[in-house]
Amino acid sequence: MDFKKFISIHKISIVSIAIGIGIALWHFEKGVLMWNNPAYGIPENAYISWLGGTLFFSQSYWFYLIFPLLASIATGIEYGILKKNKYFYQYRIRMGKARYTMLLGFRIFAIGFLVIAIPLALNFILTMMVKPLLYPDSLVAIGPYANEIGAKLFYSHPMVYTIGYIIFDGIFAGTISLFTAVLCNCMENYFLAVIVPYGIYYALVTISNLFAWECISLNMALNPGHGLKGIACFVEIIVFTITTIFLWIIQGAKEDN
Amino acid sequence: MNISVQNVSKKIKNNEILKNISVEFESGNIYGIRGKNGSGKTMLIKAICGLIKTDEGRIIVDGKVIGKDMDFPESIGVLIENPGFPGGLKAFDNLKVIASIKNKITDKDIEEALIKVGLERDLEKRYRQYSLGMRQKLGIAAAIMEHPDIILLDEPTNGLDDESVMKLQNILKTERDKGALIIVVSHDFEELEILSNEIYQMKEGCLEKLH
Repeated sequence: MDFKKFISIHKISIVSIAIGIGIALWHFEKGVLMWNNPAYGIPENAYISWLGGTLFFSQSYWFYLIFPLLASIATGIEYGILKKNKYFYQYRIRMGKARYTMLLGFRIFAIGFLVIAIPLALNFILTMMVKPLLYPDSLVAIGPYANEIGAKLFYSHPMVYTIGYIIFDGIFAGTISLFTAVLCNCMENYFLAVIVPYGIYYALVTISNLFAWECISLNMALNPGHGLKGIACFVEIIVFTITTIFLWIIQGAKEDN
Repeated sequence: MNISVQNVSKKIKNNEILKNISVEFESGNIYGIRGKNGSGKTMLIKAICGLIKTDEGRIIVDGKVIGKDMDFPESIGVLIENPGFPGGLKAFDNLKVIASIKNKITDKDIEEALIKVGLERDLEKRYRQYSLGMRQKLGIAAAIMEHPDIILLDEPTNGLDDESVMKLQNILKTERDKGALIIVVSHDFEELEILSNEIYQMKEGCLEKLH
């Protein structure tokens, strides 16, 4: 069956990917190629210097701050437009509800995944070409602390940790994408559906900053160099993912056009 | 092929859109449903093709209950309201994507459907460049290209010129003669008179047979 066009990336997704790649290249230029300040103690190591290696560079900070917005814009507006113009019923009546829900959900998830995973992977590959791939030193105060979730993997198998984290971030972005589609099914205003995931994310960042509850701040948890400071973030992400998939399936079964 | 609508009711936000509707449709016929805007015509079409759940009653297609034994009728072509397609694709590509789901028809069948509705001169244009009438034609082509057993068309002549309306009438008559069950919803009584074997009137959610 040829679903290439059904799961193809549309213009709005390309804009999101382009913004992500723009930040990734900006970081590569400023934080990798031009960065030459040993005073800050950032070691010459690709695992530390890349976009996800630390939140020290402003490009990294911005990337992880607008992370959910990239994912929600990618799918929300396009999904909203296609839903509004009644296009999807052509698929639903031919596929059946279960297959339709699964395939459309996969498509939306994949777009969110790619929007985040492509810039991260690109930046990591570029950084690897310039900086050496050295085992990170746990005594340098950059990277996850030794007692944190996944830290053992980072210091023993940094490549596995980094690739795994890019996939983890992609999965989270895919979930945000799907969550945006769930909101589009409930809301008349699709722009609001695009903004709400970011609002929740930013609220968590703000609360985390106000009360020094680092463990609930997702922008830090999603940064591989920062790592998961506690089980709370991990639980947050798992609960969010399961709830979103559950809501999507329920909506797919009940949806009225 | 038989569609049996049995005591179907549907409410949306306390507004009763369909009120206890019962009607039988048989294959080899064209049925016309007329009514004012907001009378419930489109909702009935959506209920028959399984796109909405009814609050009461059931719709049975060839002995199978929609929403229970199957999600949607197995062989159905639908045009509801104004059709929508991705703007960046050409007519053929748009139909090809949809046709690839069931993979029952060839590229030639798609081309034939496009010729039948009169889009042969606009194949190089992208959907976003289409006029209202051309979009409507593409929607009709999508509904008929797989020669389904059931064809449901909601206001199919919207935006069509006289020549295109004639073409549509010929298409529907041909499909009917092949044994298709066709339901056409329109507010234009004359158009239904020409086409239909039976005409129904939809008024404030109730359906009554005119002739």
